[in-house]
Amino acid sequence: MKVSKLFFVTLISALSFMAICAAESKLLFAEDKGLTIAREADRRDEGFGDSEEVFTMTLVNEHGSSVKRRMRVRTLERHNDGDWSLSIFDEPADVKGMALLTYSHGIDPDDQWLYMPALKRVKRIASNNKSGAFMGSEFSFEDFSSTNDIRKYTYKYLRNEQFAGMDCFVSEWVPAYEHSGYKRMIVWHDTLEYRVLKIDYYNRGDKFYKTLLLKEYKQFLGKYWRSMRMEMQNHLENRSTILTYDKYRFRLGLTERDFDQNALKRSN
Amino acid sequence: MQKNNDYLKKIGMGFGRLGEWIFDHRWTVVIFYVFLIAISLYFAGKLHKDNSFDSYFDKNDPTFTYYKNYQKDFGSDELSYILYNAPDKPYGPFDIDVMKKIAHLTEALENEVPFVSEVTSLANVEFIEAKGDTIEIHELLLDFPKTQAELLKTRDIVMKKPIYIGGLISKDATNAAIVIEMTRSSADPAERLRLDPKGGDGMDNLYPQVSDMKIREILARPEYQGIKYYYTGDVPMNTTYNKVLGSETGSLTLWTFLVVGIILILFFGKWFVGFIGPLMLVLLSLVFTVGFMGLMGYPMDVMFLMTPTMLTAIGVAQSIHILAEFKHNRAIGLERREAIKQTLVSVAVPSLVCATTTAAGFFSMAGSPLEALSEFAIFGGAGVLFAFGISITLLIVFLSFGKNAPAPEKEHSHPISDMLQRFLHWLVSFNLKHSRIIIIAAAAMYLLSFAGISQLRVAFNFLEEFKEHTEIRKTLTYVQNAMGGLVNLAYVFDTGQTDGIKNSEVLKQVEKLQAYADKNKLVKKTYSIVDTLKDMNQSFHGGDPAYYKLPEDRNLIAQYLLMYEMSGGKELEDYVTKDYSRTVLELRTIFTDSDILAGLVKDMQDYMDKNQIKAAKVELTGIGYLWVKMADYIASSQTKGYFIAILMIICFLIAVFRSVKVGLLAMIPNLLPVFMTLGAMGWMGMNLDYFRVMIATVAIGISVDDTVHLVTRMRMEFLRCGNYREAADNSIKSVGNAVIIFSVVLFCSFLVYLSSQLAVLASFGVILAITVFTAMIADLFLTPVIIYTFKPFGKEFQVE
Repeated sequence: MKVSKLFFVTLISALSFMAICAAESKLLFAEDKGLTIAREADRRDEGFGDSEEVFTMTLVNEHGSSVKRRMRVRTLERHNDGDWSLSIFDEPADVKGMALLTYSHGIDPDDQWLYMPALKRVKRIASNNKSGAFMGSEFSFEDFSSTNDIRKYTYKYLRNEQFAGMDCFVSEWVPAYEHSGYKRMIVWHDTLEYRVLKIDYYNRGDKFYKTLLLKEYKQFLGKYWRSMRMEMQNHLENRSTILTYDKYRFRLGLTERDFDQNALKRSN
Repeated sequence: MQKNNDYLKKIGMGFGRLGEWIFDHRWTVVIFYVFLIAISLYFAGKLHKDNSFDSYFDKNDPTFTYYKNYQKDFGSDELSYILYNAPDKPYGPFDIDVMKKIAHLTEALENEVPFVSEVTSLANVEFIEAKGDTIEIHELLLDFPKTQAELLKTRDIVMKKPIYIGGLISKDATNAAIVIEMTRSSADPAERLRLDPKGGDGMDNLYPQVSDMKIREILARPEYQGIKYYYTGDVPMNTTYNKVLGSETGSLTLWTFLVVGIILILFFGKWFVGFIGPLMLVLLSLVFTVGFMGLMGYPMDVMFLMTPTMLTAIGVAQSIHILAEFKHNRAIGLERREAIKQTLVSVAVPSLVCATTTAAGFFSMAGSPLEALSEFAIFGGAGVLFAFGISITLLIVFLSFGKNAPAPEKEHSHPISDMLQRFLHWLVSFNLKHSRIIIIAAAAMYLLSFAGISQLRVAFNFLEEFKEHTEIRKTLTYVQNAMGGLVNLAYVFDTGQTDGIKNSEVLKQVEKLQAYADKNKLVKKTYSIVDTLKDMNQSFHGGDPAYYKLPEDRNLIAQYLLMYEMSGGKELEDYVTKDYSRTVLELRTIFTDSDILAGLVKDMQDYMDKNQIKAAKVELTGIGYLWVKMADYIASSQTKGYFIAILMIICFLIAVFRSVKVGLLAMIPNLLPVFMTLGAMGWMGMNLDYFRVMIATVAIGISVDDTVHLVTRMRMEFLRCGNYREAADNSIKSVGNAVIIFSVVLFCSFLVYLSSQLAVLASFGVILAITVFTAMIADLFLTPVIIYTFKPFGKEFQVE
């Protein structure tokens, strides 16, 4: 009697231990796989050197009326730190010529300088807070500055599912930097090319906040995939913003000199 | 003449037969009531509490729509405000230990208080700073000063920034504030106010109570002591309000029951049914009313607070005539069944008329644009009718129990009844002797009242809703004197196009209007996008105060704003929509009477018209403006409501007495007490608030009851004896007793409102009680005199 009792206790304990281990390992697997997907996506985008993109941003309000902004962004790929970028504002006319130079530093605050043509002055701006709206659009500053750096999030693989006719990895990204406007994001990568197809954003109160759809992907230099149309829908305020890319150019021979404070002034 | 009397008698006989039927089938009636109670309780379960502004306004009202849009664009304008000072520290709020505590407190409030959108104090306020070539937007004390000297340097910077003065720090730097902005507002529907979505609508699970509790708990923690806090604003005010409503609905009802019970014992002695019958009647009419509210989907709001007391008073008063008449019939030796029949024959018709006129008084307010008032009118009126229904059915069941055989009692054995009878005898002779003087006095009273009414103003002040000794009122008064205003008036500039606000013309007009508002003594602080632009301009020019001005160039404005966005500035989200199509100028005014606020609004409007402030469509909103609109609605609906009430009651009286002359004459003693009350309020400079506005309609409906009983009895007596004086005298002697008890019950019940913490309800009770008392005096003295002076029932005749 005693022996059988001992046997059952041991069996139950062993099964419980195995169950805990299985659950633990599933968790570890999910975290590992989430990170692996993000790393692979990042790896596939490495080596583009430099680029320039021109895009139009269309802001659509809740009544359906819209307004346009135009910008150019030059990027210099960096290997030991975050990328450098120079954003130049072309429209609306009142901000034409404004330019923002950003040295990205992963989870540390970026270095940023801004050129204001109305004052003809360059000012360094210091801020950790990137959650504000970008030029009145449904995009925030962090939407532009964060997704290209693997250190900015922690990752968890959730599942595989079909999206836009493609098999996708679905992962959860949680911002690792301070002052994010999001609690988490759910990201869809296609399993073939590791392109981001969709992101659901949840605000700090964990309310379903926005959805970004990345469409019309084109491949450049036979390697780099770029979405030519991004649609951001704000579910809480029923507004949307559409980014349409007119062109992408790669390997223009841009150097560090094209990303210094003097470059800001002559960026027009 | 006999013919004329037939129809009232016929109706009376019908009620008499009903009485007999109830006597024979009392258990059927009881079962029917059990069924009705079950249905009512079922619907009562669907009732929900709603003390929000929602409950006042019709959801389609444009004023309310503007307010909701404003909240959607710029967030809730509800806030909590913690004023603090440290008188025993030499640098007050800028003492380094005090500032450390405030920094931690700010963080604790932001992290722990539910429904908080933002907490701002000197420790974390957004600060635009230019250092050499760097422009920074950061929290003021992001790098916390290490020494007192460093903090004093910060103080010098802060005191040069007009944006902080009067809001976060007083001009003399002795008082500072923590502003807690909320994500919710009193105007939100109940489901948005729950902390735990499945936790139900108990007070402890709802905004603002949950936020208030947490704030108080945090402020009481030992680590934040050594500083004097004065906690006020929408959250504690609305919490106090809700708590008062929650606790006083029950306590006022209990007090009323107690008061009424004592009066009933005083008048009816040890007669058990005389005590328990009216109370059961009232209880059931309350249950039916609450069930009716559930059925109609009405919320339980502030107006419900007065309902139990009012229904108790009216219900008991209604039953008194029946009880007194029944007692009289038993005393003269009628069998129980016959006594019931005769009671209903003579009392049911006037009771029906009384109930209908009282209900009409309530119903006349149903057209009010204030939803809470209009719903109160309907359920209040329905409650009165329920009470009547119960009084002629279930109360009769109560009376049916006991021996059927005649049991004559000494009717006048009760000392109070004896005293009343002696008074009534005296009254009859007084009326006979001084009939002229009484009529002249009444005419003079009317004239004086009209003069007073012309001075009456419609206004209310939420600060004065609470009695002076209450903590909430004392704190608010202190804060208002020490720092500034907490009532929000918002001017929303809508350009209708994206980026429209960047137009310097629009901004100049905002600035102009803001500068004008700043000059007004009621306005303690103003906020707009212009402040931030001026602050940025100053910061971009080395902090030079000469540059604290609006840039002229549209491009520079747009570039400042983009720079502000890129630098992580967040404060502007409270004042401008993110597409820059709408912006708001907010005025914080002191708590004052709504008509004084209306004066400010008009003054601002005149200024806008005169100065062509038309670059954008300007919508006025904010809690302060909702008050002004409420007062407007009260003023407009009051005139209409009074007119409707008077007209309805005249029509009833004319229909009941089938005589225009009788109907109009009966109105003279009815209107006098109401006009006297309103006139006296006018003379005394008292205002009509949203409670007091109901006095006239409720009082007309109630005071007419005495008159109906008296005039009906006089008419019956006249038709019997053919002589006006005799008819008047007999009526006073027989009905006078009940009239006095009826009025005493109402008078004492309405005085129960005095126990409320809400000054507004207490004063309503006192005024209503006085009106009821005046109505009794008018009925006893004036009604008989009018009848035998004007002889409205036709010529006197000799009885054969």
